[in-house]
Amino acid sequence: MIVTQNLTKKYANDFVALDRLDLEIGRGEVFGYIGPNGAGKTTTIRILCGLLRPTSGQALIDGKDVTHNVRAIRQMTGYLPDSFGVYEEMRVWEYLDFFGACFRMPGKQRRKRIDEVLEITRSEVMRDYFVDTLSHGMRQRIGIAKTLMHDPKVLFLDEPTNGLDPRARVDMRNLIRELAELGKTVLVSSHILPELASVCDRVGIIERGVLLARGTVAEIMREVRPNRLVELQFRGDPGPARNVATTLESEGRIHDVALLQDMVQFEVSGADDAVANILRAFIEGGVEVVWFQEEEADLEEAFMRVTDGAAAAGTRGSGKD
Amino acid sequence: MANPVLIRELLTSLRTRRALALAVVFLFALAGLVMLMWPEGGVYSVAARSSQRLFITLSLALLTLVCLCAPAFTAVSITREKEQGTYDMLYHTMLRPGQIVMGKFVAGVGLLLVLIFSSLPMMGACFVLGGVSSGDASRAYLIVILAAVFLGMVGLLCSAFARSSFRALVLCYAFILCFCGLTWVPSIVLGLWAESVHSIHLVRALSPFAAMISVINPGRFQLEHPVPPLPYGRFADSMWVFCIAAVAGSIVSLLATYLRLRIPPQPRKHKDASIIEDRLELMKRHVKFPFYLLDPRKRKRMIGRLMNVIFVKEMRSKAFSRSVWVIRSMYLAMVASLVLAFLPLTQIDKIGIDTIVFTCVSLPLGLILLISPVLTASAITEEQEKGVFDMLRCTRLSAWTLVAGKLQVAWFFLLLLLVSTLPTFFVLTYLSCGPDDMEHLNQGINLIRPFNFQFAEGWEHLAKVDAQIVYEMLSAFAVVGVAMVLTTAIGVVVSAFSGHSSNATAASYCLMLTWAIGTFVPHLMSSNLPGGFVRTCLTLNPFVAAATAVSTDVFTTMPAGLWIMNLKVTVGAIAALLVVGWLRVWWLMRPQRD
Repeated sequence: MIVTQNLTKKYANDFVALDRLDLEIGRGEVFGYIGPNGAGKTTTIRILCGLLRPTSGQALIDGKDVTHNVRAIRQMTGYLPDSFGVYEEMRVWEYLDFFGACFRMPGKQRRKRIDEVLEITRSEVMRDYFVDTLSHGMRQRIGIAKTLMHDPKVLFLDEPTNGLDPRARVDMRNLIRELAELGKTVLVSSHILPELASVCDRVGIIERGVLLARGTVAEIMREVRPNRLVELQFRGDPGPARNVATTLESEGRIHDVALLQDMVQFEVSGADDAVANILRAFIEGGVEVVWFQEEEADLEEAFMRVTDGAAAAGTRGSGKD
Repeated sequence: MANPVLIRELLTSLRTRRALALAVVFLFALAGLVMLMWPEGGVYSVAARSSQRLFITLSLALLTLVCLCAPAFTAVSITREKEQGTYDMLYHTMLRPGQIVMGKFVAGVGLLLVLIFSSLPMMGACFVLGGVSSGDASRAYLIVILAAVFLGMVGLLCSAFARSSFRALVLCYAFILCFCGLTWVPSIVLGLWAESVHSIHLVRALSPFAAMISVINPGRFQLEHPVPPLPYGRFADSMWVFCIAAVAGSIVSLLATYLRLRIPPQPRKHKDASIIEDRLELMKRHVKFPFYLLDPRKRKRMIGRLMNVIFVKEMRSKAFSRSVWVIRSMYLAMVASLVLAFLPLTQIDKIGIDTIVFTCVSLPLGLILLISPVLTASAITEEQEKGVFDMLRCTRLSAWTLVAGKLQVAWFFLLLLLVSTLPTFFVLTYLSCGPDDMEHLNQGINLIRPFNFQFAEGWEHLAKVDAQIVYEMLSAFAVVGVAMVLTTAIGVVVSAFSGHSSNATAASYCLMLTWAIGTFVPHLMSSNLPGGFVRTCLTLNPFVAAATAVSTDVFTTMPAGLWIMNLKVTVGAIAALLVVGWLRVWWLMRPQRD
């Protein structure tokens, strides 16, 4: 549905916001576009929406070039900016009616669609509220309702969970999932990987305009950490545990061993049976095992490993996201 | 210890291109005047006369520029903090309100004073030619400096009370217009009738222009506006009236700003979002509040297929489109119009038809000039500032729909105001009628008035009124209407090229005042300028065109049909501006390079 080939964007001060980006997002897929602030997420989305002209490369949506088919692309896509404005003295349904009319939807269709999008976003109660008095969370919902008004095939949501409280974040994630169930292709950006891990079919991690990793969360985790991290807690004398760990390491069955006061940490490469054999070796070696577990994949850590954190540390020059 | 607000303001304002551009425009405008008016002859007496004219023109120009620039320096200084969200942070520092006020004031007015003093070399040219005393020059500068301080302080006061830069600028310009121009109205309209009413002359003396003219050319001023001996001194002392008023006004504004800034920033009030569906309840509200012609709590219809979506959106979301606001404005315009129409008629034998004609056509044009920038200068910029423009770009909205919708809203409101000023046009018709025409006019109006409803007979009488009179009225209305379209087109184009609503509003006011008043200035200096240039400038002036359309007794030196030429030029300018505005918005809506 969305394809970019060598997509590059340089700004006037020779700042490279996107560097030969190759991306492919399938129909009906929820793609999480992750990166630190200033990585190039918004630039990508703005190019895909037909708001920004790329310096070189190509971006296609449903086979149509975004720079040469602006009208078709606008009809096909819906864009929710990271921060968007509302009009004063306007009620929610009037706001939606206005954007529907901007897409030249007939009046009857608009009336019906307003009800539908308010239902999808569970905002029926806000119908007559003044849009400029809504809280941030409510406003984000209405923003998505506005984006859905003309029933686009593709949705670009730029950091929709930013600034939301925990409950609103969960609601927003559920909403994104529901949009996917409606058959929409969703590209949703965030600077926090765990934020989107549960709702995205695939994610892409971008930094300094370069796509560093892409795939399912599990694939990325495997890419970041090829070995499984296992922790074993024991009681009593640490001697047997040290001996078994040294032996297994010398045999190459475990790596990166760290022996703490009552715990051994190590990495294992291989499937579940290899892990089971290692546990057996410890028990047979006289270690009194209290518990033995594989540490859950830490998405935050994975993200930090993929991105070097230079942008966050401020080593990067100024530029647009 | 240095005031941190002052340092920050100076740093940020001196770094901007606006400060440099303003200084360049300011100095080039004054230098241009000096070049235009520099005497060609070498005879001393001629040079001295020219020097006096140069001094008069330069002083007036300096004062005009100060009046136009003062809001740009101070009226947005606090509102911009509010818009950027830094006001709350500033308020919660250890800074006292007094320090914030002084920092903003000194930075804004200080820059204005630098501009004023940078004009000293040009004023020095008058001394080279002779004929101007240092006392006159000092007094002229005193007036300009006091005007800068007072108007700067008023700008700061507007900024402290307004929620947005746009509103602050509008408030400030409206005040300046009233303070500088409206103070003249009672003495112009009532001056001869109420020669002995000192308070009227006191009101006029409040205007910095009255003070300036009394200093730079007291002889002519007294000749044109003879005033009986006043209990509070000579007329030339009107300078001191202004000085005292300016100092007192500055102190009051300073105190009011200080008191306002002591109040902590308040969150916005919750609005009642309920909608009344019950017809009976709605009817009751109509009876209770006649202003609710368009009840805000009645459910509105969906946007119609043939309606311009931007027009409907603006009507629903803009404060000025609320029915209460519209009706009150119309009411005020009508009252002003009736006063202007009635008062001159009571003294027609004293002040002459010329003055009445000019006054009557000035009211609608003045209203247009005052309100048009308010309605149009933020047309495009506010969409960008609110963060909605990108969302509009993502829709199928065309550039022309956007431009046309913005213009339609402005026209709707301005036309309502123009309709409210119709009484002035009836006065003009009345003045133009001979005895026979008057008879027909009275009978016609009598027959078609409410409760008679004899339209056919009434129309027969009206049709017998000299066609020339009707033609003249329609001509004047056409000039006013076309001027209205031009001002809105200027506002939209300026808005399309500006980054901020405040800059666009200031630029629109400057452009419109240059067009409406600047084109009249060469007429005042006609002895020094080529006749062709003066005529060309007057042809562009809407006030002159409207006056010549209804009366052949005004501007008799100008060729006949001046208003037709004005119409042609204005329509051409409108067409050009609309094309430029449309192209600019079309370009803004295209995928951008940066």
